[in-house]
Amino acid sequence: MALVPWGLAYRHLWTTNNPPTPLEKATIWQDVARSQYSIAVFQNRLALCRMLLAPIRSLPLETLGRIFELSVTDYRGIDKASVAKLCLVCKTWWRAAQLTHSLWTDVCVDRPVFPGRVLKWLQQGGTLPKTLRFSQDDWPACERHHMRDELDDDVDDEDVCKLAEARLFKYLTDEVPLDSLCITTWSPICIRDFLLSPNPSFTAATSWTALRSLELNMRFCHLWPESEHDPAISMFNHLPPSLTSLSIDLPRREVIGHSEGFDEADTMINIPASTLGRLISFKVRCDWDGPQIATLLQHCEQLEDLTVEYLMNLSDGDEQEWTKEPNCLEKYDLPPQIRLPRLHTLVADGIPASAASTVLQFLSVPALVNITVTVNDSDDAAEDEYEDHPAHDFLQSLGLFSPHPPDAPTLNSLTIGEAWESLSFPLIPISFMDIVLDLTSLKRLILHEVQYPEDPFLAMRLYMESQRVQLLPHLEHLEFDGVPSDTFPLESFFHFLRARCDQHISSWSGCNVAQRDSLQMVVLRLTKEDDEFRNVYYSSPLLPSIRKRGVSVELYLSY
Amino acid sequence: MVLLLTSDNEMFSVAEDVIKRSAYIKNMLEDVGESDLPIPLPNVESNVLVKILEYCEHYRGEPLPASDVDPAEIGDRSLDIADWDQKYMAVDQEMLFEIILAANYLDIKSLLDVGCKTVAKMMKGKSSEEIRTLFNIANDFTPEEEAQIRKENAWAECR
Repeated sequence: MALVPWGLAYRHLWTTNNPPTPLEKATIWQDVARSQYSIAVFQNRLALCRMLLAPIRSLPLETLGRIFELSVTDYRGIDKASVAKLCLVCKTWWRAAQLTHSLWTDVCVDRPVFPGRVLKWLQQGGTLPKTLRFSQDDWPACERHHMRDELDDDVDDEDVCKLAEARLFKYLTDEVPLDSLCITTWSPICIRDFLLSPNPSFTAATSWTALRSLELNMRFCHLWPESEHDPAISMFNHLPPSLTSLSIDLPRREVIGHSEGFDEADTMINIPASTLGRLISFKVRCDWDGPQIATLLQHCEQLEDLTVEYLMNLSDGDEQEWTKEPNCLEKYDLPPQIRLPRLHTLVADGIPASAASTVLQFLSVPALVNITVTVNDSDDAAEDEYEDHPAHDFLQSLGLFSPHPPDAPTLNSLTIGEAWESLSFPLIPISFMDIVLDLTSLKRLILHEVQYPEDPFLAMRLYMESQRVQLLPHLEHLEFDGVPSDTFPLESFFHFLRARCDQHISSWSGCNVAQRDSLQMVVLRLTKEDDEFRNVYYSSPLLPSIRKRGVSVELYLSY
Repeated sequence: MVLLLTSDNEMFSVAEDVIKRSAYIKNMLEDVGESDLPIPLPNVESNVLVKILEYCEHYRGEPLPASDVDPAEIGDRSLDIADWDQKYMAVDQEMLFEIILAANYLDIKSLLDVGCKTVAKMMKGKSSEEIRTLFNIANDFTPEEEAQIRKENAWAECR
């Protein structure tokens, strides 16, 4: 039956207020249903058109790949679950992910899995360096080795080692050469068990013999094996032969400190001198109050990058107490100064403020280019006693890197600050002046969680104007991380920046072409919300004039 | 001044130091030299170019960011975006992708980087289905294909 055109059957109702007859009512309801169907059809068509026009379709695969890289990476590395998720969005994204080799180069195995799947995943990384992480630190703990201090210590044969269960050696084949291997376990015995296992199938494989980087995380461990006290039988004798980068995270003193036979001053980490002598990069996390790190470093002649994390507890009273004894290095048969002739990057994280200057003075680092030091400033000084503050001595000791040969004439980058976000150490003008007058070669200066109890920028500006010199003449990047927004003298800082630029311009006034000021980037990072600070920042008339002078000033909100 | 002709035939006269943030235009000016002829931008519409010029104007005179930044130096701040850039990128999705495409075409690395970070932040923590809805993407896998990919990557679905 042909349908009556829409509305024709009840046209008279449009211009009157008469009620529809039952037949008309039925027809109207029919039209409502037809219209709803049409709406659904059009909505589908609209959605389809929108989908066809979706701007993300036009992105080149390379750009899509860059977005993927950014979205799957965090401070722990690449999140494989996010990569898997991207592959399931659509065919184009699956292809883009396959073509973005970097997504497949870093993978964490945290539960039993068929090794072939993991190796296939890594193979998609092409020729890029690959990192394989074994993280066995989730509950339940390793039944075989947790809380045990030796391999043969009355172990029930039915208890399986979590690391052994992960069949790590199955991954160390010639099929996929690894660049870096990371192991996180509940017990050093798991690692010892693995390193000492006589399994030629992996110890001869390229993945093991050519392995350049190894990370051993034992931070959750409760014991330090007694066998590690004897250098002859230490597990570290079995490290890969080509290792140039080593990272070890040792058990915390508060956990192992009370265990039998453990003396944190005398227990050594027995890494062979031949292994240490090959290292180019070394990272050690240790909070033991002893000379372990110094003992290791004396053999690291090739070292270029060194990271030392002390990780002291805020409540910890004994902070590297051993360094306070006279001739403390001699006592442990160490040379009076440890020379690292090739070291260019030193990161000392969580170093106790009261011991910072002493610890740094142990080192002779003539080639140092970058230094990052965050102090653990648990002894808070009273507000009016900044000069007695434990950090003060440390800041003055930075003078030891001043351009007096043989100490670091090429120091380019300095990052200093407080290790704990809840605290911040004070940088008084005199300390700031020490830095800028002593470290004239600096190109990067980053201040992390620092307080400014007095205005250091006013002092520096007055110094520049009276002496007609430009402080830090090579500075390119200046960053304040964790700006204390309520006390930071922002206007004074802007005045300092402008004066610095003007000082530069006036020093070139006799020449035809003024070279650009070295300073390119200033970064202010707020770690807590402060609208007032933002308002002052954006409304300052000085900001545009500084930017006009070619200095990029950026505010980041990292909360 | 440099003349730019957009895909919708709008002509823009722009200061040379503003548009030189675009490596594409900068190279073109260096290759061709001074000319009264407009530079055609067949891939950029006028409303997008207005937005691009706002960015270039804001960073006028400032040094170009270094392209060789060590990723280790960035660390866990790979998605940090400056406050002004965040406000600049607070646009609808269509404009956001148009900016990314134009930044890619005009070779403005810092803007492309901010655009990619903005999209990456939008995706972070979302499921495949939520990403499809967010960006209007059709699931064009056959059930068998999807099942195969799921099977291969099942072990990786937990971090």
